[in-house]
Amino acid sequence: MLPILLKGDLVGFVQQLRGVCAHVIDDKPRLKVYEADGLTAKKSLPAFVALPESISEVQGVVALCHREGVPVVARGAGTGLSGGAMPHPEGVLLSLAKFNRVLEIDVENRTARVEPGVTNLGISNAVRDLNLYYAPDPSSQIACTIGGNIAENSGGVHCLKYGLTVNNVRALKLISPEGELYEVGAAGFDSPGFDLLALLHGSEGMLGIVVEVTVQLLPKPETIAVLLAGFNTVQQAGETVALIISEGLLPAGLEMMDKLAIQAAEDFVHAGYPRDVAALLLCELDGSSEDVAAQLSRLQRLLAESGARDIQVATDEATRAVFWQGRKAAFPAVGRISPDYYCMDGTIPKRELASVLAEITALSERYGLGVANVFHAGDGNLHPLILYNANDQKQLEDAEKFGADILTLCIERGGTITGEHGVGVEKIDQMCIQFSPGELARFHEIKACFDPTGILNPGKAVPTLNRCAEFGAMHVHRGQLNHPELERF
Amino acid sequence: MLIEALVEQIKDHGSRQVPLRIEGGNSKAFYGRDIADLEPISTKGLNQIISYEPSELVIRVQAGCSLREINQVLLEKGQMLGFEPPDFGDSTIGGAIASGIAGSRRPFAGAGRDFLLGLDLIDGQGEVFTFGGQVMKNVAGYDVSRLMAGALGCLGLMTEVSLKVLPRPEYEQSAMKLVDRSELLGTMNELSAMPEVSGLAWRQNQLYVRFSGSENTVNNRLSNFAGNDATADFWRDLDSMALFSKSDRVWRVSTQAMDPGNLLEEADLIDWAGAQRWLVDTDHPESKVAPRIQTTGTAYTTLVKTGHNETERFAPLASPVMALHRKLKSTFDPLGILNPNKMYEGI
Repeated sequence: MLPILLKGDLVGFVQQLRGVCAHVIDDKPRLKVYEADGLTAKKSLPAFVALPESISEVQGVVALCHREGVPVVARGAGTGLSGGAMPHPEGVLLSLAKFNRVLEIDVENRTARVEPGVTNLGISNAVRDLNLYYAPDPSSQIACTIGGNIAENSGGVHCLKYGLTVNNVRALKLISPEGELYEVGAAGFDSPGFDLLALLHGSEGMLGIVVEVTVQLLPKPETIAVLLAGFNTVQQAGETVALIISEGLLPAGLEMMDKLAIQAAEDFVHAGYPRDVAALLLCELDGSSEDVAAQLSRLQRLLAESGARDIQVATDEATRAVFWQGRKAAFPAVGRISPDYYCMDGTIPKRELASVLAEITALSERYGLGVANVFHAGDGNLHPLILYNANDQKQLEDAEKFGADILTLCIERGGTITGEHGVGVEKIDQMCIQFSPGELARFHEIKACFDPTGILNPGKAVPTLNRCAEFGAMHVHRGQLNHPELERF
Repeated sequence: MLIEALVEQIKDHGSRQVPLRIEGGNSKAFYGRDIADLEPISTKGLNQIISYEPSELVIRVQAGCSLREINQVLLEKGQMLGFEPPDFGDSTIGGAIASGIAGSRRPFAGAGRDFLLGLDLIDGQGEVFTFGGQVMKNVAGYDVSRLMAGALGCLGLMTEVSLKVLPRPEYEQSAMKLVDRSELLGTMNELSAMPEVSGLAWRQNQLYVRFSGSENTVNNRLSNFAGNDATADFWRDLDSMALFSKSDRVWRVSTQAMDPGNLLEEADLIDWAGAQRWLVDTDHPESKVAPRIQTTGTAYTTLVKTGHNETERFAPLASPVMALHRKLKSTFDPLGILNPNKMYEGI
């Protein structure tokens, strides 16, 4: 247990904090800005916010907190959906917002060195004129930071072909909880020793504070085509996904929506989706023009064989954008048809898709709550949206039980409780279902290797062995997501 | 049950403080610090393919499965291991993951760690764990699976692994042409920007390139390249170090592809689009540039194999990183039973 800052110590502590970091917030109105991340249901006012501008300021803050036993919670843009950056009431919220510079672009080696507060899209924008881009593209990419992407090992719609954050980052500079600067990875493809670079990805700010990132960049594909296809049954769409993959195509993106999601999206953005289908597939192909043309003809042949209908192809940027718009606006679209929705993030083997969706439909009937499904079909990542009204206590409770049932179902079918949103505070209890006590204990031991006094983001991501009771998930009231301007999922 | 037997063996050795050397196909004993004197613990009996569904792009296999068998099973369904792990003769998938050695497709597709989705593990005290999963996206808990990739068995004995696999390219063809060392990096840089390039190496003034994609595209790329045909065997021989003679001492340097230093002038073989440079020394260390095991800037040298009595094989780690290695070792293998000293003294 960390010692708790006593009221009498606060004044002394904030003086010391100001001594090591020029920008410190300690007044309630401004602290309130930081009380939650994208998971607005979980709030907590931090004791202080520190906004360091240099590595030495970060070192100063972290070393001070280590000495005084004060928790440190790192935060990027605060767009995370699992409460990973929810402040600790007795701790310092360490905002990396001022670490927003692209430090070096190495065109020849196709890498960039950036600070952790640079946005995901900011990296691609910085290299756009060089015909390069950074591949992982979480839907919140306009605002989410690369530091946060590393903390959550973020995905996006293109990870089937291009991988997650961990597959696209070469090296990190970090600050240890003692305030020591160290590096993992290398500018080349590998480095000696254990793969600490991989271990740090998805570690939710529990093991170290990232202060510099070297990402690999890819040449922009010469051609991109997006194909849209409707299906009369979900089963048929699921089987088509399996067929596309087993026939040797590796689409850059492969997304699926069910009837309710299609209709909500179509009502909202008029993307031209067919309204009378049970499921819709969106398939993106990229590469050289000749290769995309060859892939496209194979894909069209497969779709014809599998009974797809209303097939449309977009090769120009404007039409592609329209096709994607419906998918990317699916969440706010659902927010328009229900006072509240409750978003899940399970992953399942693709073969389980049709039967899991059938079970979700059965659960929906049992609980009397609607559900819309959008799905990263290529990699098995489901986002069921449970529709409910939070003003109705019974509906709220049922929505939570429904969500719990879905996550349990995902685990039973060989999947996982979180594909890309992370555990944070949101799914900490489901960790007890997915992992054995021995595995959870090992996670705590790994944490102790990096952070023996436990000052970094305490209480997140890995449950203590004696808490496995309460259940929580992402609640969205009247479609009011934090950062509603962002595309999601 | 073999896993129980392995657990018992590890526990027994722990109680007697007698360390073990993890052995799959025993094809990479040359790699890493020498621990040949230790008693072996074999994964060879763990030779089952647990599950494989091509439409999932995932295969789950026991660690002692041979690469030969896995490659064959995948080939039948038009798929492959994307990181192209070299087969040194009877190599197993467990050894391929544990060694972290990836083949020529590495810069274009990724390494073993990039394809590892989950695993079962016995730690140094005989405790059995399951980490990661059989799905491509999974961010629950620390990524312990990937920590095992390249860990040389120093943190545990893998019993099962789940791997993402890739569809085989529709068509693949290799070519070669004369390129002078002075023009090498520029030529490689141009080629490696093409999405169809899946292998790019240089040896004895010949630049080797492999194109993968639709037949049309590959043929167009080949005609633009204007070289001579090369066989697919070249990549297999390169990856399995068959191009070096058995007596050679071999170093590799891992660096940035366009690094103008770090053995560019001396390397006998350059792979990974410039990012992996090999130096061979058949006789005396003094006869050629014999790089010591070292870290220079962002480049790392590994003494991959040697017939001489040389202890250290891997570049030294910075002290905070080494401290983390020691703590992780004592978490997963507090008694130092599994492959002790294989990577570094005390690890």
